Amino acid sequence: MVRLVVVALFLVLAGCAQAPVSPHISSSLELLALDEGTHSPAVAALLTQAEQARLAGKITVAQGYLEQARQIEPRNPDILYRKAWLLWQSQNAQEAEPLCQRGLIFAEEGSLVQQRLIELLAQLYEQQGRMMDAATLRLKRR
Amino acid sequence: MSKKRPPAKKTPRPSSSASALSWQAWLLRLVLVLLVAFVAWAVWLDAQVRARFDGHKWTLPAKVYASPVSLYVGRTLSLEQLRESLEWTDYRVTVSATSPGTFALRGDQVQIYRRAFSYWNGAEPAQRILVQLSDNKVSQVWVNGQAAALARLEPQYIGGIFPAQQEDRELVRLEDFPKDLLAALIVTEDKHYLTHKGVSVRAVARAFWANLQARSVVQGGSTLTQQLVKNFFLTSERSLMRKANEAMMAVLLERHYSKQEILQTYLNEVYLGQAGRRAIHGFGLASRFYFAKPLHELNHAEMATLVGLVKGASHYNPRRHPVRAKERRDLVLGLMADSGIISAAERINAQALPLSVADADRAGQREYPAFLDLVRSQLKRDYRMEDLQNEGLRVFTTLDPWLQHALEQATVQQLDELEARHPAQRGKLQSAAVMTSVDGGEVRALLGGREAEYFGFNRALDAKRAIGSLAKPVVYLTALESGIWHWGTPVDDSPVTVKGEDGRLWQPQNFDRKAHGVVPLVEALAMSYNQATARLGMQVGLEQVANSFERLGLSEKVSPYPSVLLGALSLSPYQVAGLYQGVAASGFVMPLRAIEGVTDQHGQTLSAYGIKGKQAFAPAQIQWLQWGLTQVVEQGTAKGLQFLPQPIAAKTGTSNDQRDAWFMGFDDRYLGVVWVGRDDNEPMPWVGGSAALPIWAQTFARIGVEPLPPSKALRFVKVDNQGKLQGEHCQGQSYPFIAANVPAQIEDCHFGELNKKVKSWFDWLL
Repeated sequence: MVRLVVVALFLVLAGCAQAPVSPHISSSLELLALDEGTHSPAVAALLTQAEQARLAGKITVAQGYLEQARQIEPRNPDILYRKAWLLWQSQNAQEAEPLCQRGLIFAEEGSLVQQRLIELLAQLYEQQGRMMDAATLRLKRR
Repeated sequence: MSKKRPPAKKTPRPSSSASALSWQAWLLRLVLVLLVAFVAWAVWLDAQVRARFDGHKWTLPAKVYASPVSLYVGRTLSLEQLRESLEWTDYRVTVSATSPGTFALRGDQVQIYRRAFSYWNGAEPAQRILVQLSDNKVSQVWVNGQAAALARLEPQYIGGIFPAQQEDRELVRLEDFPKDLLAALIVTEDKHYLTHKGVSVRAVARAFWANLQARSVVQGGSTLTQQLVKNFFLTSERSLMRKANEAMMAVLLERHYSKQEILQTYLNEVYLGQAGRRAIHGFGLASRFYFAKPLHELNHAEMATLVGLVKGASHYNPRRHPVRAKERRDLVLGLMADSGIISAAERINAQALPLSVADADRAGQREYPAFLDLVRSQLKRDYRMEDLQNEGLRVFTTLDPWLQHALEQATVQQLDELEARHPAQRGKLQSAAVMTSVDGGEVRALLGGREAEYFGFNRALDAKRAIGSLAKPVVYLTALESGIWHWGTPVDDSPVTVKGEDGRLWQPQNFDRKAHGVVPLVEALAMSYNQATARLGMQVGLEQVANSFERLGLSEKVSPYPSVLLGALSLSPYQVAGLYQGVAASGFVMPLRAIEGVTDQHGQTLSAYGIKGKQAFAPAQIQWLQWGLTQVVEQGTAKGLQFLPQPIAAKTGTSNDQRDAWFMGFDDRYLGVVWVGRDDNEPMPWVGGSAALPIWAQTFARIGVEPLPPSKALRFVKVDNQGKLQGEHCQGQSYPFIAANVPAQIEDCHFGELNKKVKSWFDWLL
């Protein structure tokens, strides 16, 4: 109950604020390219290939490279995030959501990838009209 | 005076010229009719020739491949696994791996000349790969002399999805055929191929004369074009009409199409052997089938052997009739030398070689029927069977041949041993098994029966058998999740009677027919006590237990009957693996998957498949259950696994009257479910721990165990014999708890209960 009140209060305050809460991922959390960041050599090579495929518009192939990377490091939250992000970009929120949840299990507390996963999950909730769930998640991130 | 008689009026009689005219007219009419008939016949044949030749010439079965071995630093890989993986994809050991399709072993280094291959996500050229292994791991990889992050081996071909006639072929373009092979075929089968118009009068006359002299059919006069027409359009019926059709169609074919087009079609069409149910058509596939290498790697002797097969693939089969085949090969080599394709010295060298045919039973040629059943059923969701059988699709799967072979070997060995101990069971035992990767649900091995290469009843997918005690962990999961029970909670294993809705009494007994009194919850699971579990399940609630089955992804409706608590529930090994996938993956419930990707015959990616699922349980909750399953090995019915690195999570299962023996276990990489039983559902003198466990154990011993890591979500707390939490200084037994639910400070002895239970995934997240 207390939690609900806090969330409701947050929503009201957010609505009253001059700048509305952006429905987009803020720039600091935004992924610019699939091969961004530092990874193990094998994963980095696959992320590069995935990014090249994405830029060429071959989303299916890009997902395949990400899946190959996931099989090499199945509990790497960065890979799960990228898979979910690409699904989200291709309007496949239904499959993106559980991957975000899976990624959160392996993401370290306070890490960038944890924040990114939470933000993406919040966006996915918003797309489904689950505004309270999204707000609650963002609260957790803050 | 003679009286002139008036000339008699003659009745008109046909004059000879008039009658000749009439005969000619009739002849003309006849000729005209024949001409029209001939033209109609020719037009009809022409239409047939063009329709078939311009359209799809062949039904191309989908080719199915196993998962390729990826090479990257840190990957677990033994030298034995690498060597066998290469041999199973028809790579040959040589001294220095100088040509594609070869590899060389140098201590811990393996030099591989990988062939070019079109993977599901793109083609890769041939590569020289050097792999350094250290302590059963890849420590370095070089590709074409440069340090590389990642390389892939060629995946193993594991079967096809064939149309009814079971024709298989590997299409090869004319320019990719070795020139000497083309020349050898022409000089042997049709010397004047390049000059005749479809039919060779000279060849027919020569054959006629030879046959007349021999008083039997010893020589044929058919050109390559006629042979193609016979194979492609006609039957092998021996009649004048068929022969006439053949000649006419050959002429028409030559009129419409170039010599190159006709020859290419011939080379891909000709029947060259039989591999079980598969008919081997074309030189491309025959080269792999007989010599385990692509066409461009063939030597002259091998080319001549294949050319020799054209005259009669069965009669000159080099495996069944090596003497005959060698004679025919040497004859072809002689013709090659006579016509200048090879030199005399090359002929002598080639004729001195043995036939050196590859083993027909080698892994590269065998099929995996049970796994292919699964692939077929999963492909049918996205593709029409007609396209799978005809369009030459390439299907890339999750099968790991190394795991599959380990599972097959362990199964055969175990069933043989069991039957040796109980001869009355000889030939009656069957088994089925499924292995998946813990984190992704990829099916890595699947065994449909004792004979892995048998195309028939697939027990892994279709045999639904009572799962016995494999149902129990779901009861314990439901109890733990309720927040009322923990592993140290005392439970009563005394006789129990449950009254069903129909008024009938259910009185389960333990396997040893004894009651064990009050025991900690974990002991009841580890020792698989029926009475304690039945009592627990009734307290937890049948609906709740049925709901847990559903949340774990079981599509089968579970009726909330008391007997379900002890496994009166019939599932296939594949369904059981699906049920436990979520348990092994810390609550992420996902469908099992056998396909990675699909391309068309030109390598264009059509589909890619990846992990899908749902976090159905809080990870900590499932890790709590996993600890209980590790105690099954540590102190319970799966002690037989203690020779392997620990911890491993496992559960044994035995159905009523020992009709089914089950075993489920997982380490940090793979989940395996094994069933042993009889097709006639008769009892056996074994239980899950003695019949199914050893198969799992031997398989994992071979592939290596990666123990489960300790869970960060759990915290050990002392518990007294009442199940109450104790301070560290108090007496009691330590059990794990979900750390978030344990009060930060427990000072007192007889502290009491846990914090409130975790309700949902969302609560866990927050």
